[in-house]
Amino acid sequence: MSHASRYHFIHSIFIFIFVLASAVAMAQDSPESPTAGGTSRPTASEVTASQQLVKLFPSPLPAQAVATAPPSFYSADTLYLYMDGGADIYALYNVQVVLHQEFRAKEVDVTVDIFDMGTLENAFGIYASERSPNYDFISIGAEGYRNQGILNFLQGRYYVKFAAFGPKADAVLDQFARELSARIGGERGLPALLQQLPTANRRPHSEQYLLKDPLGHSFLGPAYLAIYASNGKDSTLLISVGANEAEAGERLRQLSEHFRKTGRCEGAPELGNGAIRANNSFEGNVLAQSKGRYLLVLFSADNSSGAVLANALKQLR
Amino acid sequence: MSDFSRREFLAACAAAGAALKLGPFAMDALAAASGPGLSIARFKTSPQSPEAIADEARRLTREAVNGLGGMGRFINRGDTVWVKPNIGWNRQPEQAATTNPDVVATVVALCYEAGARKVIVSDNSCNTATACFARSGIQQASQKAGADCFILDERRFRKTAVNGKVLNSWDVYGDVLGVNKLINVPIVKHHGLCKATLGMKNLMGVVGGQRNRFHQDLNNTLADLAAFLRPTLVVMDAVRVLTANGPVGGNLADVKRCDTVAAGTDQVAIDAFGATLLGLKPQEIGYVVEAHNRRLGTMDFESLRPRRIEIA
Repeated sequence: MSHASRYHFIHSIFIFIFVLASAVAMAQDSPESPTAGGTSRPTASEVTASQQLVKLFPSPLPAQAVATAPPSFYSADTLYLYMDGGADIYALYNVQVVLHQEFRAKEVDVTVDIFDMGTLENAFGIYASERSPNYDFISIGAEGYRNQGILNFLQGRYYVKFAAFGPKADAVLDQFARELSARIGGERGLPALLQQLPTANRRPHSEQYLLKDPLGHSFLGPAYLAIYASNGKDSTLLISVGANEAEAGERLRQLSEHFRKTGRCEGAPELGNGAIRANNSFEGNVLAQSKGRYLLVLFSADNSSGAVLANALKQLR
Repeated sequence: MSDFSRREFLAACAAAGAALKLGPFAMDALAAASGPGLSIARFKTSPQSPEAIADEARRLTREAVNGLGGMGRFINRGDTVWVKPNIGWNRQPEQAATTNPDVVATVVALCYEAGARKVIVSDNSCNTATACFARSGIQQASQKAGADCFILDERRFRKTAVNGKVLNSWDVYGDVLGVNKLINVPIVKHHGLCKATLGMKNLMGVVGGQRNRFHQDLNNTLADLAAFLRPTLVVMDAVRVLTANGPVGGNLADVKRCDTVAAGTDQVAIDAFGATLLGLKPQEIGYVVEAHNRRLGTMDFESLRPRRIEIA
C-alpha cells in the first residue's frame, strides 16, 4: 500500500470512529440542562463531508510535517466541544463539518482547522465576521490574512485557519496553506454580488454577509453590507437579498413602517418609484430602494453618499 | 462621627451583611468588612520586552491585591486554595486568550505568603488540555511558584445541587468543592456570543457536562453559577486584553495592551469594570445585568470607590 493510500485509509478509519463515538455520546446520560434538547447523530452528508476534508491534505504533507494525532471532526452540534462559546457563530453560518488536526514540522507545531461552511456565501460570512480592515491581507484562495503564528483564508465553501508555534513558524504556515489551497482548487473568488457593488470610496475589506438581524432588523436578512467613505464620514450600504421581487418589496414596506413609527419617512422620487428617504434619532438618515429581489438601503446617508445608492442600483443585475 | 467615617461605617456594615450570604468559599464577615471592595493597579507605560512585561504583570498583581489589604485578608493559615485562571485555549500569552502566567504565578505566591497549605491551579480547557496548559505558560509558571497544577480528570465531575433560577444541578468538579477558598483569575476578552468573557464567565471552567447548553440561557446560567460559587476573590488580568474574535483569539492584531490588573470581592463590580476596558458599558453584558439584578454585587463599580494605583 503506498504512503498516500495508507494515509487516506487511516483517516477513513478515524472517520468511522468519529461516527461511532458520536453515536455513543448521544446514548450517554447527560446532566440536567437549562432547556430541553439534544445533539443529533452525524448525518450521511456530514460523514461524506468529513471524508472530503481528509482528502484535502496533500500527500506527502508540506514542510515534512507529520500528524501528531488523528483528526477530530465536529458538526454544528458538537463544535462547542472544541470551541466552546466560539462555536455559536459558526453554527449561525450553518457550519457543516469541521476537521481539526495537529501536526509537527520539525520544531514547529501546526494546528489546522478546516471549516466546511456548505456554501461560498456562508464561508464568506464567517470569514468576514472575523477579519478587520487593518489586518495584513495576502493573496491566497479568495482572500486571506496572516499575523505572527496564524494564517486564515477563504476558498469556495471552506474557511481554513492555521496556527503554528515554533521557530520559522510563519514560513511553515505559508507553505502548508498554499499547498492546501492548491488541493482545494475550484473557484477563488468572493461572492459574485460583491463584484457588482460600486468600488469608488468603498473601504477595503469592509464587506460582510449577515444572515441574522442585519443592523438590528430581522426582516432584512440575509444581507450583504459594505462601508463607504465620503467627505470624512462613513455610510453603510446594505443589500438585503430576498427570494424574489415581491419579498424585496415587502421588506421595503416593513422598513418604511419602521421609520414611520420611529422617526420620519417620505418618498425619494430621484431614486425611482417607491424609493424612500427616512431618518430617526438612532439610525440617522437613510435612503432605500428595491431592485428585483434586492432591497438596497444606505444608512447614514448624506448628500454626497446618496450617489453610492444610485450607482449601486445601476450596477446591480 | 464625621460624615466621611459614617459613610465608611455604613459601607462596612453593608459589606458584612453581604458576606453573611455565604458561598462555600467566602471569607469571614470581619475580613469582608475590613477593606475596600475593588482595587485597580495600572502601569502608566507599556513595557515591550518579554521580561519587562512579566515584571509588570507580577508588580500589578501584587499592587492590586495589596490595594485590598493584602492576601492575608482572604487566605488563612492552612487554607487549601483553588486558583482558577483561564487555561481554555491552545494559545501563547501574547495572544491574550488565556490568563497571563505571571499574574497566575503571583497569585499563587501571594497565597503561600499568606500561609496557604496548598494551592491548586486548574481549568476545564476547551482545546486539548495538555497543549493549553503548556502553551499558555500557566503550568510552568504556577508549578514554579509551588502550585499543584494538573489537568482535570473527567471522572471527578460530580452532579451537584446548584439550586439556581435555571440550573437545579450541574456537573461541578469535585475537588473544587473540597477546598477552602476559590480565587477566580480571568482575563478580559471579547466574546462572540455574549460580548465579553470576564470573571463570572470564567467560572464555567469548574463545570463539565454539555456546556453548550449554558449558551442557550447564558445570562441566567452564569448568574446561577456565580451565586453558587461566590469566589473568595477575583483577580482580573488586563495586562493584555483580547478586543475581537474571542474567546478563541489567535491574531495579535486583536490584542490591546491595557497594563492593568484589578482585584475585588464583588464579582459583579469587577466584571463591570472589565467590560469598560473593552469599550463596553456594563449594562451591555447580559449576565452582568442579571447578576446585578439578583444583588450578587453591583454594576456601579465606581460606587465602591475603588482604590486606584498608578505605577510609573
